Amino acid sequence: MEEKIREIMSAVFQCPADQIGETTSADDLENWDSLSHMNLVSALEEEFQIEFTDDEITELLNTQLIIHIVGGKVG
Amino acid sequence: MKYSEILSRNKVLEKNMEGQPYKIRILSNIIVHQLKEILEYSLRSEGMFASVEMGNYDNILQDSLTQSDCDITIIFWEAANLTDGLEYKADILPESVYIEMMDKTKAEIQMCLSNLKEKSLVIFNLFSSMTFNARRVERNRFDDIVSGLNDFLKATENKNVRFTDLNKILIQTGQDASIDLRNYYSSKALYSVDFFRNYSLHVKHLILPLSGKVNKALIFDCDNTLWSGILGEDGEDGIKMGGTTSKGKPFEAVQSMAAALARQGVLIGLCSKNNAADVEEVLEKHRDQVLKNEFITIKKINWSDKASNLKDMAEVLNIGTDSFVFVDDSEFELGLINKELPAVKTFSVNTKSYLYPSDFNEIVNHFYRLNRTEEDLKKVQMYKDQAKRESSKEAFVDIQDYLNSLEIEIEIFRDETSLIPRMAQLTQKTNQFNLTTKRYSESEIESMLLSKSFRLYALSVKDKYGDSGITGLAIVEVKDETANIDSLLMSCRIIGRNIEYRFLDYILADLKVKQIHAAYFSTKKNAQVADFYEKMSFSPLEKGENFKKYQLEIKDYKHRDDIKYIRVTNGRKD
Repeated sequence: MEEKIREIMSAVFQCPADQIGETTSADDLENWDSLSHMNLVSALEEEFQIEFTDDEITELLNTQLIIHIVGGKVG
Repeated sequence: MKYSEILSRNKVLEKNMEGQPYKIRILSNIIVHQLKEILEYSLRSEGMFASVEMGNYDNILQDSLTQSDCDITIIFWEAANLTDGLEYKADILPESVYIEMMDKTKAEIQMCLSNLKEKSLVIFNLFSSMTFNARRVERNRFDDIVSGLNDFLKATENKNVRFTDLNKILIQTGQDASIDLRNYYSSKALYSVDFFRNYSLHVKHLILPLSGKVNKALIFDCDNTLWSGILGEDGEDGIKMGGTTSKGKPFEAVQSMAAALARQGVLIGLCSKNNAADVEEVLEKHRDQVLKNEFITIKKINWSDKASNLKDMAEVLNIGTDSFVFVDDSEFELGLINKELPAVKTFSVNTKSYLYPSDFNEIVNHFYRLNRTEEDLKKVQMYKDQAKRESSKEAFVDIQDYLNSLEIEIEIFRDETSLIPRMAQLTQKTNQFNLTTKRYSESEIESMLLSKSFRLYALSVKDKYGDSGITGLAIVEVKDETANIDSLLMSCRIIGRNIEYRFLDYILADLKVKQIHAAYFSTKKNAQVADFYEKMSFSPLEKGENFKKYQLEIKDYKHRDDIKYIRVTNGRKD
């Protein structure tokens, strides 16, 4: 799952997957802005067949948190 | 395909595309940024290099003034955000504010369309209230606003505008799957990725014809494709395509839809492994057969492989296999075609035959035309004539005798206003005999007609087998004693008869200038005219990787009066 999440982040933010570490956040990636954040949400939801609440959406702040929140929902 | 996959593949496609992209700009008053990559991908995967950009948020009118750098504009004007929260405020707006808002919006639409009237294509979404009102029983003022604006929109006379019915996309996607309200109240993003996917599949059919990718022929297998059952096994009485049987009904539907396409000028062909006489018997005599011979342009009913048969058809009709759509129920045959003739678009018949007619709409979409003309409607007959000409060609040993016997007549129309749609269409569709391959919209042609410096010559051709209609065009820019041939093209239906010589004779005589400039720009498809100007005794001036430029002193030009079998007349339209 973690690898898939990195893959998706790399596709969404258009950067190499190896540039995405555990703590990578919007501060590190030029293409991670509020619009591409929506793209991230769409891609993750589609991939893992989940739906984030609006609060969760604002908590997807870095790789670690994304893995944690997605992991909690996939169960 | 998953959204993240679309993002990555779109990136890869971008690297592999050649040439200048078609620029598409989306002007919107809500956030629709996810449409960018999805639409790009759906066009690029069809071979059209498109690049989509977003206008400034909620700035449609101002942006419409600054679109000179893009080819196509999409207007994504959301009714609910005409003013903030209109979907719930509409009912409590004071009457005067309501009227004022309607007037203001109509004026803005008008200005916006007028600012964009030079674009090749403007796609305008019809307003919809379904996003917010689908669950309401009683009609409210928001519904009235939407229908009032749509009535206004549809009355536009701008020829370059095409409408998209968002309600169709909403129904196709399902309301709940279309809308994502989580980002609506905070950031005015409303539609889901699923919605944008269907939206792109829809509008790509409006956009693709601009790249010259026009499908012309629809070729059917017969058994389990035109009818249920196998003719060779079940016999004429055993196959079913009639309205009285549940098995036959879906096939009746498909045959009827195909016949309707033939009426619009799509060439229908049959390519089937069968005994030709058996199929002929069905076509002529079976009481349930809808797609009779009158709708069918070409048939290859034999036991040879279907790839060779399709190739033959392309040669006889003189069109590329990339304008073919092929329908078959056999994965083997479809696989063969995909491998041998990858340019042919293939469709497999749904094994759940009750879904076949609704799937078939997708095939119908592949024949969408931005504008239909008289010539389209006559086309089935013209191509039948062409097939006849091809077969009588074999009877003549000497091509000269053959040409003599054709009784060819050409008629040339100069600056003829009533031909604007057809002239624009010719520039958009003609690929092979096209010296510069410049694509023009109707409004561009119109402005050239209005300008004093351009002359537009449209060519109409007929012979004893039939009338091909307007099938050639030359656009010439004249400045003092010099003329420049901006475009010169002829439909592939009329080439191989030396018509081009007489056409050019006529134009050069009519121009009355001393010197002519011309150019050839090479594309993947127009190699056959690479030496055209050399043949016409023009002298080369300059040569680049993809172009050649020429010059001609009129006094050095040799008229081809020796081509006596073509009668030339000066056309006039009433």
